[in-house]
Amino acid sequence: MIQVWIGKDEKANVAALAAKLEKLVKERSGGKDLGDGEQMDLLRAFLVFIEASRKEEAEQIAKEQKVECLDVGYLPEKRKQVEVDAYGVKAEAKNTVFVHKDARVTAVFVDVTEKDFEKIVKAADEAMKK
Amino acid sequence: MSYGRTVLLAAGAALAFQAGAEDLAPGLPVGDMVPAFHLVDVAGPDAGARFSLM
Repeated sequence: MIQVWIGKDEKANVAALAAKLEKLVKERSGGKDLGDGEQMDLLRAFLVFIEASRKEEAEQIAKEQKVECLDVGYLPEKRKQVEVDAYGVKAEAKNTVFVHKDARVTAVFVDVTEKDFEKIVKAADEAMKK
Repeated sequence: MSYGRTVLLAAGAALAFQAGAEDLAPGLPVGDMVPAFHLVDVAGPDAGARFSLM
């Protein structure tokens, strides 16, 4: 699973990350047949705005990028500080990325841009192999 | 500017960059368990849901 926490990042980069995450999840998910018509998602990704005040921006990006497989959302205002503290996300970071498998963190990145997105792909693929 | 001064400045800049990158690293390191978190989903497979992940 991939979690991308959006802090101070600007809209253009968030939109670019959303497009790449959507494509990645589409390519990597739904590959394993569990029977009874069910398929397991091999990879799931969340793009999470820390600030609930950016809700409209989140909706706009999801619409513009035609998001179907990527979950886009925001932290509820009342829970924000609890979640941020639990993950230790720094307020100054533009974005913070966690890749995890079986609830254990396998990779962490900060301030990822469209240009270095490939490191997330590699980390996710590596986690899926384990 | 002398060569020695240039090298020192470059080393200083590199150290400052490293310190900056470390400052932004989250408290949750590789290998740790991922805490549950609450999310309001506006788009995607669970659009409209307000749920706790994990």
